[in-house]
Amino acid sequence: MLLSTLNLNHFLLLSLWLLLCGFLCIFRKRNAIGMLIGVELILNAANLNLIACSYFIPSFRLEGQIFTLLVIVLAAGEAATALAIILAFYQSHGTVDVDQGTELKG
Amino acid sequence: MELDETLFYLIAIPIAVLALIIVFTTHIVRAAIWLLFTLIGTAFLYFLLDAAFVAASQLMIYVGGILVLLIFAIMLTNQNPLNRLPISKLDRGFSILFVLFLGLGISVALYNSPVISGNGQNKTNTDSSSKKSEDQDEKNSSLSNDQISEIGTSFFDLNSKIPSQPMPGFPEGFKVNRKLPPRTNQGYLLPFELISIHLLVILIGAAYLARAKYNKNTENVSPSDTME
Repeated sequence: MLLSTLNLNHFLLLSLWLLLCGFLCIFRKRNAIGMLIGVELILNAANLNLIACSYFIPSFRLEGQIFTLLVIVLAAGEAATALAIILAFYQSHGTVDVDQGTELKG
Repeated sequence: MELDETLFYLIAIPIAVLALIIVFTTHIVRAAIWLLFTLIGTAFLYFLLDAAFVAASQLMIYVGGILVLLIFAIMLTNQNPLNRLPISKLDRGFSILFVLFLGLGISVALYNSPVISGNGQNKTNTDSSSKKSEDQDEKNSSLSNDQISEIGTSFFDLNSKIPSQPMPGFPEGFKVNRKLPPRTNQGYLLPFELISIHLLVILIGAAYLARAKYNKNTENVSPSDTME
């Protein structure tokens, strides 16, 4: 057997840590690309959660891996779109500071 | 300490530390590079969890694709590396408070859930369950051999080999209420097709958003002039 002493809790706690780091990263960065890095951390936490559950819960085994594959593909699309928006923002404002984008303030 | 536990801590502790460094570094290029190592470490954890195909995809798409995209965006936006962009003290306090409450909330929820509370019971039962696990060994190893084809065929709902016994390491006191899904002859084709359309839309949208914009002054200039 591959894993004998580890259990699900180890992976859940690491996933929780990655989630919290991702949230903190989103809150603490004013750089739009830094916020995107935080989003990637959160998506990774979710993926790790899914893969760990897919290993330890047999009826979830294939679904976990397939959901993770779909999340990875969607994350690639999300990153491409967000970076295109950041580039357009930079071309019009000359900065990537998210505090400068105040045109849509209500 | 067993080999797998050693491997887990060898991978997990650097991931946790690097994630924290990503948060607190103010240098955006360094954050991207630390993200690279975090993603590679997560891919190693997928290998440890017997999900080789997902790990390979993670290495190719995340490390090879998204990170290159991030670094290109950093280069194209041409920022001054000394531009720190500090956040206000109010935001800083709010972020710490929010994350503390979120962490506490999820920890309490985890601790009260059967997944964690079944933990102590599991430790006493490891000796008896280890014999059981040896019997499962052959069954599971035959399953993991053709895992990639299994993932592929599951998109068409063609495979039927799903183990019924939980893996050792799964808490004993925790019952999985989830029944196997009824066979619908559908598989995962619908999300697969949806994602293909989604990617096409993203491709067009991103190309439209990031296109080079010309000023009104340069619009009247003939193309031969702009070539120089």
